[in-house]
Amino acid sequence: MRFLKKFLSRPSTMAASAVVVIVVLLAIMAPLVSPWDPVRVFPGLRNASLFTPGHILGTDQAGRDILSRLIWGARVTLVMGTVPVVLSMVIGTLLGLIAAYYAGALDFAILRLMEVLFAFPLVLLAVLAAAVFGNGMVNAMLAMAVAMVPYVIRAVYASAKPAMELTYVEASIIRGASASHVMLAEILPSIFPSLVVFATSMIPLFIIFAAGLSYLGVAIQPPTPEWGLMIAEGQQVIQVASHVPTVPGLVLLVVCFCLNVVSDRLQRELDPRTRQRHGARLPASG
Amino acid sequence: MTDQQPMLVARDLNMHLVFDNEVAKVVDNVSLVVRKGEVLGIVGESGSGKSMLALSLLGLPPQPYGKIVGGNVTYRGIDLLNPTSARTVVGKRIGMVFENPGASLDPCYRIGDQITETIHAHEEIDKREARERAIKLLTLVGIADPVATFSSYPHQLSGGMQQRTGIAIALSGNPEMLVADNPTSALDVTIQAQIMRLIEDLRVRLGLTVVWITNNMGIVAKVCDRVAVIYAGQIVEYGRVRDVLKNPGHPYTQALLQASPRIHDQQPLIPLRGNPPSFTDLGTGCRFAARCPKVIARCREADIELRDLGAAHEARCILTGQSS
Amino acid sequence: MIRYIIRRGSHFVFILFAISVIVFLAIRMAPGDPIVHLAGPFATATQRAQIRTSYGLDKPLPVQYVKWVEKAVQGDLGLSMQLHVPVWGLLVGKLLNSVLLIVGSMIIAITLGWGLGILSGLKPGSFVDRLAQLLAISGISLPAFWFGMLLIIAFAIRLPWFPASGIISNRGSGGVGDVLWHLVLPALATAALPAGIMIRLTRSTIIETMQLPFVNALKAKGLSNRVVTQHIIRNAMPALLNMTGMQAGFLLTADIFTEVVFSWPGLGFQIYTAIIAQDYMAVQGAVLFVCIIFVALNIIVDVLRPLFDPRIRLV
Repeated sequence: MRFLKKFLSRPSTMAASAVVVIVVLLAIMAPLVSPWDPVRVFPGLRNASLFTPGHILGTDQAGRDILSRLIWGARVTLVMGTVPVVLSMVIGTLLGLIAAYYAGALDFAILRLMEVLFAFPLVLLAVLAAAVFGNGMVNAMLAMAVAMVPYVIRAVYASAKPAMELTYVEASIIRGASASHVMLAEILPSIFPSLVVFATSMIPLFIIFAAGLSYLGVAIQPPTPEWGLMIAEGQQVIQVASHVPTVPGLVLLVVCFCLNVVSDRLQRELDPRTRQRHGARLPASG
Repeated sequence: MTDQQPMLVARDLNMHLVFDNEVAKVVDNVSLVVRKGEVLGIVGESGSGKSMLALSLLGLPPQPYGKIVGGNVTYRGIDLLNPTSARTVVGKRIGMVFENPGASLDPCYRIGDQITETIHAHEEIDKREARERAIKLLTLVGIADPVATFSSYPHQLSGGMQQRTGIAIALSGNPEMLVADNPTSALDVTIQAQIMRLIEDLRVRLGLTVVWITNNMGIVAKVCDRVAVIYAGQIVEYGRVRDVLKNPGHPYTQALLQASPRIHDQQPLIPLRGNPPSFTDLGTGCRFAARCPKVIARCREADIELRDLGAAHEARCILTGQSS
Repeated sequence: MIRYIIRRGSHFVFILFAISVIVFLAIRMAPGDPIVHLAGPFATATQRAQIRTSYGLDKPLPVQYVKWVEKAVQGDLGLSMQLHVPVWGLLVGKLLNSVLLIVGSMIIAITLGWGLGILSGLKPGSFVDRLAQLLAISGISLPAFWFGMLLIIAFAIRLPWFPASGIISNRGSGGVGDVLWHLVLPALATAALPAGIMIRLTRSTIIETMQLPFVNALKAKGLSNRVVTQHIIRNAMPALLNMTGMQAGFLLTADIFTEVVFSWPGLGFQIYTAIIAQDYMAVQGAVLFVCIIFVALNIIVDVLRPLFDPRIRLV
């Protein structure tokens, strides 16, 4: 509770968190709050400008209400940003912990695998995987998750390996605790805060990444509303109705901006280094 | 014995570390005087704020969070809190030696460059002369192969050699005063003795005034003329070493003495329990109250001032002395 | 040193092998048959079989793989199925265009990233710091392709200052000046994300370095602020260079988004069109090509590290 108060102490954080919460709520309640069906076409009302009666954000090049598509698109965008992160965090954390715990053949294999994955630039891997395994939301999310796994493994390994040297971990091993107990109940809690920070900072990046993949046409396909796809489709009418591709991008920008602010603030509160300063003793220069 | 002329004078010096939502009062109303030719000891546990005090005395609150918020420090009348005037003193007339010699040398520059850079900062001198002086300094501090050391990087030297280099750097401006911040604690025991002897040697040869910062009462007893005891950022006792050792006025000093090993004494060591308070959480009243064996209710009521015990001996405890 | 290079080299070969196998298999597993695409809708089965044979696609997989590697090592990555030109030549040409874009973007990103990062790191909490942080968060929250679009609307359409796409004008001189003129908007769009990342990383590196004990020692020597700052930056260099190298490598493929928006004929754009056209040979070759460059870049960054940090001896 005190954490929440500290976290929300600055007005900028409060505003950013509010935006995020609102967007999430809108996404969840899309069927209730969206003025129109996102795929419904209003013939004769194509590229309607902002503040057209009945369509406050106008309509796109096919005559569909932009606001509705934005609200429904929030669902897609948020899911595509979060699911791959969660997936890769789970897989990567497990692999990272295993690699840190079991020195030897397993360790070697995992690290080599990581190196090979690292050789594929992030974007290329995702584009390639999406192209190879077909378009669509699920494939794109899998592709992004796979692309991200080596980064997670590296981060977890870097934190977990030194944690193996901690006295209470060694004590636990000597006491005969099983491997899974040591990894999950001893090491994981100590590295958990930094993993949370890592994950929350990845979400906005992945949202943009997903939008980008949709923009390229390798992820979400029309007519499903997704902010990146809306930008791609709207690019065609950029000369006559510039708001069509601009508005979804603006929404992307604002949402990611707020997510980043929240994630930064989270880092300040959770990072053990800064936590030590608050109320604790000074660093070793007596 | 000592010239009574005051060199470094600090009055009501206050230094705070200002974080996002907290303030740590690391140096709290510290006043002291270092007189020419004497050796002043500043003693306290780890975490008491000694190093912070040392830096503040030179007008160098640690960045980016440190701020000097009150009081003043002068050296022979020159204001050390004013960066322009301080530059004529810091590094030139006062040299400082640090606790962890490996960490106090810049890892990316050669030893020789680190010495000559200091020389060049304080006088107009050509490169060749500066190099010769640097090599002479390295010899002065007892380094066996000064020319090789001149071209080495810090990580290539042993701890003892790193500290000797640190001392050489401190001496490169031809200082009158040396501030030694726990120069031996990070070294092996045998090297500790060597460095202590070196500093004492140099003090006599070069006529230096020395400020010894340490957590070791034994060192204070051995080399210091006067001592200031620090606890939680405040000076809690101040006086001549023989007076303080014989008649410690503050329970903390007493505890420190009881916890220090004495070779010829069969008395058992009595450790001091607990930890120093956190700097962001100080409250009113005596800061030692939580750990003090003699604490009474009145100790926590109001902040305690330094009280006079006679003969330039003061202690911050209501149980001794008279209010000054 | 030599031993280190040899070890890294063999590592490199191993990774290359793994990459090539993965790429090869992945492309083969893709749904859709490029032969159908190539041959057109009116080809007969025999004609398709003939084309298949001409591309060697009727042989068993391991044989295809070996043949491919054999040729690849000699610099022959086959013919693009879509454009019927040698893949290698195609890629090299596009690579240069991408490099141009990357260099342009990195110049902007480094100037902003290092410049603002150092300034804000030296004075956290100041106005410059807050401005820098604002810019940095904006940079990482901006979708590059959208930003590119915005730039086109603003500076190519509304204010016709810059061209909206391509690398040279259709009816222009085609000289260096023309290319640079075309480079401005795409470079700006591509620079936003790395600039944001670098501002933040530089800032935190500087702050960390500033708090190291030797900085106090430097000040106690009486050195001027300018000299102390030089020391700080010098010590931060290894980390900063590492970061910069990684960003540049990242851009190698991340610029695909801006390349598509601006129709910039670079490697990313090429891969994109090849994938859409199901051009096996081109995609295979391109991915291998990019991965090699990427890994080589990483190795170079690693090898250059001791130059800046005397404590690192390549073990």
